[in-house]
Amino acid sequence: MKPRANDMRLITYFKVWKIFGFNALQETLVNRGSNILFMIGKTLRFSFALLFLFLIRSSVNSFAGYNSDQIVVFFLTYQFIDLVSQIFYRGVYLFSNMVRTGEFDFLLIKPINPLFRALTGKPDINDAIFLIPSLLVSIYIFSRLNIAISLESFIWYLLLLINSFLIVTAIHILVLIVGILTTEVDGIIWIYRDLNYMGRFPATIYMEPLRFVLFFIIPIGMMITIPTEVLLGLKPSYSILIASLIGLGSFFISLKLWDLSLKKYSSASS
Amino acid sequence: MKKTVIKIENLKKYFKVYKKEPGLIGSIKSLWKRKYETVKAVDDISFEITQGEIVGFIGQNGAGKTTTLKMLSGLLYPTAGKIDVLGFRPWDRKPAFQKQFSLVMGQKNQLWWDLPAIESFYLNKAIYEIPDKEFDITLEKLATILDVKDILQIQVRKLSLGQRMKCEIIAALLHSPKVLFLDEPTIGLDVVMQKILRDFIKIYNKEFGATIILTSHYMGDVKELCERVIIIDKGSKIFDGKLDDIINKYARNKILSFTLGNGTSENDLKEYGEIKSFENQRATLIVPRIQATQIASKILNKFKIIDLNIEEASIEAVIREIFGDKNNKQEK
Amino acid sequence: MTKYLTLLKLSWQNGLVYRLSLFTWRLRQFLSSLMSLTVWTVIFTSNNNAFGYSQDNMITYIFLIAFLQSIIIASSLNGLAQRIYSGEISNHLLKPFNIFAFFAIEEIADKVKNTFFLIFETFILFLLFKPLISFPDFKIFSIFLIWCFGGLIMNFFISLLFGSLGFWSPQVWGPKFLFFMILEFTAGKLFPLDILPKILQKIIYITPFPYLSFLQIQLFLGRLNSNDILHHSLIFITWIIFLGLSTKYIWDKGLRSYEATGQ
Repeated sequence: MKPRANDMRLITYFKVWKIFGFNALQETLVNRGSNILFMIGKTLRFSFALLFLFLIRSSVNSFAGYNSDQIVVFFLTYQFIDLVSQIFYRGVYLFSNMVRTGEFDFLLIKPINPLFRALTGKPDINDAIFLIPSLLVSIYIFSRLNIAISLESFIWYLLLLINSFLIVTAIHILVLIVGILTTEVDGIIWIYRDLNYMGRFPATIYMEPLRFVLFFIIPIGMMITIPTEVLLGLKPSYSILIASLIGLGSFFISLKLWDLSLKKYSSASS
Repeated sequence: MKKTVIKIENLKKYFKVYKKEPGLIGSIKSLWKRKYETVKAVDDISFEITQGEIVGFIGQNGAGKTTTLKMLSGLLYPTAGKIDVLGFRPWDRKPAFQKQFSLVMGQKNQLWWDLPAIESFYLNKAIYEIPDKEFDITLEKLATILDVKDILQIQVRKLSLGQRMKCEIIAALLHSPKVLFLDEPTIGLDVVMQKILRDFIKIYNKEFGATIILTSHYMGDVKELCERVIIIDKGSKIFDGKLDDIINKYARNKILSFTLGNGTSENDLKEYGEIKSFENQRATLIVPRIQATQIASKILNKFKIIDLNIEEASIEAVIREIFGDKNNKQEK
Repeated sequence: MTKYLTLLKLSWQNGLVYRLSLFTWRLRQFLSSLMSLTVWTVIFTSNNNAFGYSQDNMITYIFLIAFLQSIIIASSLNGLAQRIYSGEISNHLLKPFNIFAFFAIEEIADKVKNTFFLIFETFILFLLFKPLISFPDFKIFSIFLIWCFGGLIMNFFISLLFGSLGFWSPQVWGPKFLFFMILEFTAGKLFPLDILPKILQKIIYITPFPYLSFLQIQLFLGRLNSNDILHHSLIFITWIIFLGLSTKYIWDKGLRSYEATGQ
């Protein structure tokens, strides 16, 4: 399916996405009890993780060649990328259910790209709300760390974050593909989350072959480690060129595979 | 002459199906080795439908009705054959095509479960790019006909099945589709709701000039709505024509019912046909179609008859006969 | 007894159908153990001593707690609330067996399966990180086994309590999520609880979480004196009794309202 990118369509997509967000917000408010618990859970996790890092910081000077202030920055980058990808792509978690119940068929017959709907159909409002305090806390912590950052490395950092979102998008598309083919995404998405979770620490600390997996197969390293290294003015583990090739490459490959899996879906029995 | 809206030529859809052996050993085996067999879900079907028709698809479970509808909607690629709906190939899934048709599947929902139905309507409004004014008019009209104005603000999960189905249908029709595929729209609904939906479909067909294909288990739906029916059995089309013609073509029997004077026993009637019921001197007999008049006159001569009726077999019975017949032949 | 054996066999087969989910669950556990072990190995490559632990002590600690947690926390009852809310449980209620025995059997089948995979995982982790493991004396080891059993019982009650939410509401993921979040940091797999500030330790010791694996491993490693052992045994028993009684009370109440609404 080729993106039909004329201006009118873009406005339509934006309008539709706004309604996704608005509806998700309403749902969150309807189930406010559970969602308050979710918020508490997220806050606890964030605080505990920070606590652990600060414990390390207080009693350990160096961590695999990084100093302990730098380790905190890796974590903050992880936290930001993880939150933003949840905000946009939370719908992916519900996708296998859509395939199983046949609701996916309704997406396919609508005049809107089914991939767009499957990816962004249920934004995570909790995470969107949580992003604000977590960003404020992150900036505060960041300002207290003993780290010097040049404007140039900051700009590279932002550019690499865009690259990270290409990778995040590609991974979520792959999860959707698994959902179409097996009607099961729960396992695969959680494995991704756990691998991603490992990116709280620089991916360079892990031993082979896990390290290779984290840089080249499920490129969490390219997503979190490289941008942070660039931000900190360190020599990145792999060059920016490789990171962006992997970003662009995985994005286009995942789109291609999505088309193929739709073909497969359309030729299989229900 | 009315214009052709749907055209299918030699349509085929074959599936590979994985067969699991029973039991634990079977499940372990299936981990690495799976047996497949080909199922011909749709096997060489052709037909044309013109604008404004309501066509009923009849067939047993697994006959290929839903598969055909899914191919018409662009959800499935055909294995072979041509499909043309409104001048489009459905599986290209062009927005221009998708804005002109709709698919309703009974017991599958597209509404947001935790929100009032109206929110899902707004979503569809955005997706189908329906202008505000048109949206308001269509919604007003549909909600009035279906009498759901007061439930649009209620969470979908709290609605009854019938109310939900009404909302599903509105969601599917907001963009005023020219072609409508209804797959078992009345399944699970009570008799009153079935009636309401049928009436609605009729009105919609008239007012919007929509072309409708309907599959249903309930002959009631088909009898009331469709002048034309297509019968599909094991992937093949076995009948395509007026509903009444099914009876002319397939019914082998007619039904004689009459009331007898006193003194006649059940046994006396045996030679004339198969006795379906005999109670309080009121008898119902199934007789071969061609001999019906003959037998009736014989009975009139022989017994003291108070009144006599010759009826066609019910369409349900005929259709049961068609499928039953086929199955029997297969078994032999 | 035979009917329970048949049940065991059935739930074992049932589990094979969900081969993917067991596999992914194990993989996730493996990754999280791998992460903890890696992080600590890295910390100790440039520091000989941290938080009063030597490298060997710490690696052995993480290795053992990862193993024990896999057994104690693995539960087939994670989806119990949904099963109750959807009415699936009613089928079981109609049959002539004790529903709790049935859950216990499911739980055992699940743990056996998990353990089967766990042995492979542990073997790999052992080769990678080479922890030094020395067994405690017989007396301590016996107490260790009893405490482990206590941990299993405790987790069973907790799972049943979470499941019972399904009697009243389909929205059970909130509390469950919160529970797992707390568990993640307080059960001691990422780091031993005794590196935390004293005040936090005190708070955590009020909760049942340290009894789900952390204290067992502390005992195993000989980090508890006989006073500690007695003290924790008493709290442990109190928790089990309290959770057991709560479970019974809430399930009685839940079943009554369940039958009343006829779900």
